[in-house]
Amino acid sequence: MDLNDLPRKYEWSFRKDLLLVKNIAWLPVARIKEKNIDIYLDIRLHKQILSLVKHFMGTKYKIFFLSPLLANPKFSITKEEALDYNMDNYLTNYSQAQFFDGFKKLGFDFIENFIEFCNKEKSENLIKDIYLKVNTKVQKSYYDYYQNRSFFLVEREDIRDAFNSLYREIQIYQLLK
Amino acid sequence: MRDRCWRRFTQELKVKKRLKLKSQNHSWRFYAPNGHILYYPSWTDLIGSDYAHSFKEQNQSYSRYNHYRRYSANNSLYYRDIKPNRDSLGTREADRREFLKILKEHGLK
Repeated sequence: MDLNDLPRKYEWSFRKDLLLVKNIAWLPVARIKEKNIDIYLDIRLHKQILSLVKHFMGTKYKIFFLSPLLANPKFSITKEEALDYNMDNYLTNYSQAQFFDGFKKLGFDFIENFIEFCNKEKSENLIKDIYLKVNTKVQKSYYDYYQNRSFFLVEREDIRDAFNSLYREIQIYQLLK
Repeated sequence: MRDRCWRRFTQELKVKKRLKLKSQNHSWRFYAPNGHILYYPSWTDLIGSDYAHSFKEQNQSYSRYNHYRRYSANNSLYYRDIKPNRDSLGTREADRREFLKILKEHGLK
């Protein structure tokens, strides 16, 4: 793959198979292989990632998302831990408004992609535990005694509602496949 | 000419310098913008953090402001000297509005 094949809006560069983008420094975005592209889902680079997904949506490449911690070669962990990080990263980023709206606007089915990733790694058993862990974070609220008001950590109500029915959605996807 | 692009470039150099200084103080745990906890983060990890805005220049220098007040299109609030020349309508904002219109007509945006 050449740099000409990528969207021209941003500055890209390659280090072997690692794709980098310029945002003050050169930050890792994706690892491009023969058949699939592993994108590091990073909230700091949401615009660049969405443009990449839009670019490669209908092509021969399969898109999967990984945790940005794994881009650092110093960060050495076992395969099981890496799986946990990746699956957690999938759902936590889905609770971010930038990705929640962005993927919806593109027409990219993020949940289907998540299930595909789980099937590829053979980790369907872990879905429920990780979903419960992330959902508690999303539904978390705190009380401000100075204002006599309670606040949610995720401000948007539609995202919280989507997360409440997310596990049911995942189960339906699994049944249909 | 020291234009918008040059100003952005110099701004970036300053931001880099400040980030590198700041990262030396972060020897203990650091909450990354993705929700992870990092130990001994590098300066690139600080990009996009909660206090990232503090690395940018908030104030203009006097000489910079003076130059802007004299020579920019926005040098006065009441009267704006718009001089269309060649393809330009006179101001960058008007040009951008026109450009977006053309993009929408051709279905590119």
